Amino acid sequence: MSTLTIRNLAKTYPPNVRAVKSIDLDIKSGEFVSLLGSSGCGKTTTLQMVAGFVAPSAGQVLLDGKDITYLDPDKRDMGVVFQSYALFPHMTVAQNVRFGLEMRRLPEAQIRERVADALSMVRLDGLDRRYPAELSGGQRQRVAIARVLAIRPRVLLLDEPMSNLDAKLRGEMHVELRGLQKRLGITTILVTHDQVEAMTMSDRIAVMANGTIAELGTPQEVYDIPSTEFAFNFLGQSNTVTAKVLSHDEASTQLRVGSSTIRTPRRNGGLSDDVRLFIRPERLTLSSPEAGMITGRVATRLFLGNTWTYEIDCDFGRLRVIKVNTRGGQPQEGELVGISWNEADMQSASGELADA
Amino acid sequence: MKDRGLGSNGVGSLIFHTLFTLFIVAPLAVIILVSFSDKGYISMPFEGASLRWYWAILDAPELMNAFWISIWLGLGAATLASLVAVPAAIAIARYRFAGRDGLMALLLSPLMIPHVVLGVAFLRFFSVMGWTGSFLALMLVHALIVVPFALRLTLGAIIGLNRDAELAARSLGASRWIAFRRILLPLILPGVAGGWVLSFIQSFDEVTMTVFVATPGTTTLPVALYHRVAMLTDPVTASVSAIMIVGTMGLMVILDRVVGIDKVLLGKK
Amino acid sequence: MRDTSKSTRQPWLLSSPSVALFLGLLVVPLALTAILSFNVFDAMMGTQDSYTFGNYLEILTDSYYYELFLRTALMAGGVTVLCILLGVPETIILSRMGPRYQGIFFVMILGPLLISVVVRTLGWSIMLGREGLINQSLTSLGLIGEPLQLMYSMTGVVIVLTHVMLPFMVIAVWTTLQKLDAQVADAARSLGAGSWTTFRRVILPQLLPGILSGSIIVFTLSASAFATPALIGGRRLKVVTTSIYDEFLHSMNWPLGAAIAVLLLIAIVAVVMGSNRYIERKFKQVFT
Ligand SMILES: Nc1ncnc2c1ncn2[C@@H]1O[C@H](COP(=O)(O)OP(=O)(O)O)[C@@H](O)[C@H]1O
Ligand SMILES: [Mg+2]
Repeated sequence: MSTLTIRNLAKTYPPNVRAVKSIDLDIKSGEFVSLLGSSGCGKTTTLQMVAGFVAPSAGQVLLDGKDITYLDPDKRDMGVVFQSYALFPHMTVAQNVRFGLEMRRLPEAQIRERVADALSMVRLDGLDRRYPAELSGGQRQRVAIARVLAIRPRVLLLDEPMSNLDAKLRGEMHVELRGLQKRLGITTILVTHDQVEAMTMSDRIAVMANGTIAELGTPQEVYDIPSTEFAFNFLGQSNTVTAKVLSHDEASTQLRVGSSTIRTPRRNGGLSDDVRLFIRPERLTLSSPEAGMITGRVATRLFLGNTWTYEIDCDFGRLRVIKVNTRGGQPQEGELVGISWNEADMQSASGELADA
Repeated sequence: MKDRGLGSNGVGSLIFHTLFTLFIVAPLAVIILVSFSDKGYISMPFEGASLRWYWAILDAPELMNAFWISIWLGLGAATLASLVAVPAAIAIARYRFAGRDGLMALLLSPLMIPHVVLGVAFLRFFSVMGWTGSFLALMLVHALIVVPFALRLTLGAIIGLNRDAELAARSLGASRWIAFRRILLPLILPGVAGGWVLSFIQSFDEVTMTVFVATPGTTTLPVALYHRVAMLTDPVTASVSAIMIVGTMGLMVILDRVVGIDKVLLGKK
Repeated sequence: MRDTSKSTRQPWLLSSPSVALFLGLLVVPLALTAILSFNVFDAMMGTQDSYTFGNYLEILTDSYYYELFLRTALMAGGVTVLCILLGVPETIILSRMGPRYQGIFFVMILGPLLISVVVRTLGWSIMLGREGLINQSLTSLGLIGEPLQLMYSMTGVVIVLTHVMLPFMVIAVWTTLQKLDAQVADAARSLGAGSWTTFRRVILPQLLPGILSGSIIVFTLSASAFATPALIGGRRLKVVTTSIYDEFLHSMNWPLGAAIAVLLLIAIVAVVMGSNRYIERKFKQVFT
């Protein structure tokens, strides 16, 4: 399969819209990488530069080591699935799927075989005579996928392909598409603003912000040990607490939050500096007040079926705690509780997290 | 109809509306009625109807010639106008470039320039170039004045179109030309066809500019009709006009089928 | 930066056929006409190769031409006023109709736009004559004793031009009417405004841009109309366009005709540009 290398890629639209500032990314053969970020951060522009629809203002795109930065899109052998699916409305499903094969001037027998293969891969057999207008949203998306799989692209580019599907179908497609991608071993870039989608499908996630990659790593890495405060806050939920450094040695730091003293297992900041600490709500556990590392009073609690979300007032501010619903006795609103955590789960801004 | 806070129509409104519609339709209805008269002068057909004034057209060779000239002129001008308007519309709709507004203004300018002025300009131009009496020259300037109509409808079709389908075609291996021919063109064809029909009608109807440059060999139907009416209004002018009314109505039905008449008349996107 | 040059070349490549057509067949002829308007004209020998301001001086010093332009402006103004008075209420009535009737009446009212103006004018000349439909019905209703002189009169020309131009006013007003938000009117009503006050203080001001742009179209097209004033007004009731025609095809004084044509073009462009600027200035803050 193919490797894709993106070097210092940038795009400035006239007069001075810096849609993409600088992107560096090495994608291994068969790897699935997601570009995850909020709307307007430059994901689509990046993808379109890779696809050849938008000419970069600077930087390079290399496919298997060959510079394709300014190559026309029809010479790239890339399969693009658009958010709008971009099916050809005046062609049937089969005609849509065979379009790319006709462009490659394959013999008719081979075209038929590949069309049939592609349609059965996305489980659309029998619908080949329908027009896109006669299909459901989910079916249209499958046609768009079949259309690019048929050409056996060297790279698969997906721009928010699931965002027009309802939640249940989206979940199914995540699994199905990922399965196909793994089976075919196609190098893939997925653009999405959906964290769950990026987490469930990707080998690696590139968290984008303001036209750059803020964080790059496996889903677990970017979630558990991100290197920036931005990434920590962008993914999942988080608690932020400001603490004052009391003392530290090589292996740990003592900090004061409110009336309590806590410890982090790393060296953080200088003496009496203010340090911002971060911890995810699901890494906090509730206990009796005596057993907790700190105490607080339950302000509100929300029942979400599989979990409970607690808002707990401590003497330094409010903490959010997420607890799996085990049907056991749950703390009530107004109750005093103890809160504990594994010290390794707490991150701090001046330590491992760079300022965003 | 969406309520726009304008209330509903009362009796007064309906009376006004009836008179208004009558005012609009009356002159056309009168022509059609008069064309069926069996008298030798302009009169209503109530005391005797006939088709004699339709047969009489066949005996007026200058009208028959003019009719065919108008038809060929309209076909040629509409085709040429569409051929230049489609790429221009793609440029305007798909690219941002310096001079885009100027290009648009230039191509729409025949709508603003009085046709008398155009007539004068072409008369002078043809005489300088030695093109007086040339059908081809007349067709070229007709194409020019109908370009705005072809452009507007084509532009409306392209602007309403998502660009992704063309991009998808490109990345599936289609060249710019193939992507145009197999994806964009089929999708904007209704708009292009509507623009072509509207251009044909506008060329066919044009009189003010053409009256300046028409020679005996290039006299169009409206110009011939104009000269005839300027001298006398006889029932033949009515039967010719009736045919033009009915013909236009036929083309309106086609326009409605192809693009929707509201798009043509209201310039809706 | 290969692609940058490509993407700046592409649009010009695409528009080059149309630009060539327009440069060759519009810009050049207009320039030739402008030059022609400065040529000397000799009654015996026709257009000369020498140049003069004489044609313009003749127009600017002769009260005949002032009257001509004034008459044309008054005619166009009258048509514009009539189009507002008839077209605005009719458009409002149309907008209140159900979609079915709306469709039918739209085609009836706007359809004539596509029918040759000579044909429409012919219909009117049949109706406007001394023995025509209008005089007959007015006489039989006892409203007039003597038949009215409508043919070859300014009244007749204005009536027919109003008929020709009304669709443009309806289109312009309809377009703005589509943007109206019904809730604004509802809000006015709930604040205690009666239906007339609501119309006058809330709806009409929102329609003004449409009425104004419709008026510009109607005014400029009326001032440039040729067939209707020529056929209904006859040879003696001259407006700017018909006098240009006479200079070119009867007097054969092309330079003078060209000068009048240039002045007409300048006047039309000035009206369009001037009113566009005015409309933009006045409405920009409110409607964007
Ligand atoms: N053709 C364009 N011209 C000007 N600005 C653009 C263009 N395309 C995108 N942008 C701007 O570039 C930024 C990034 O856009 P995009 O890549 O579409 O973001 P995303 O896909 O992450 O939502 C946005 O601010 C957008 O407005
Ligand atoms: Mg996007």
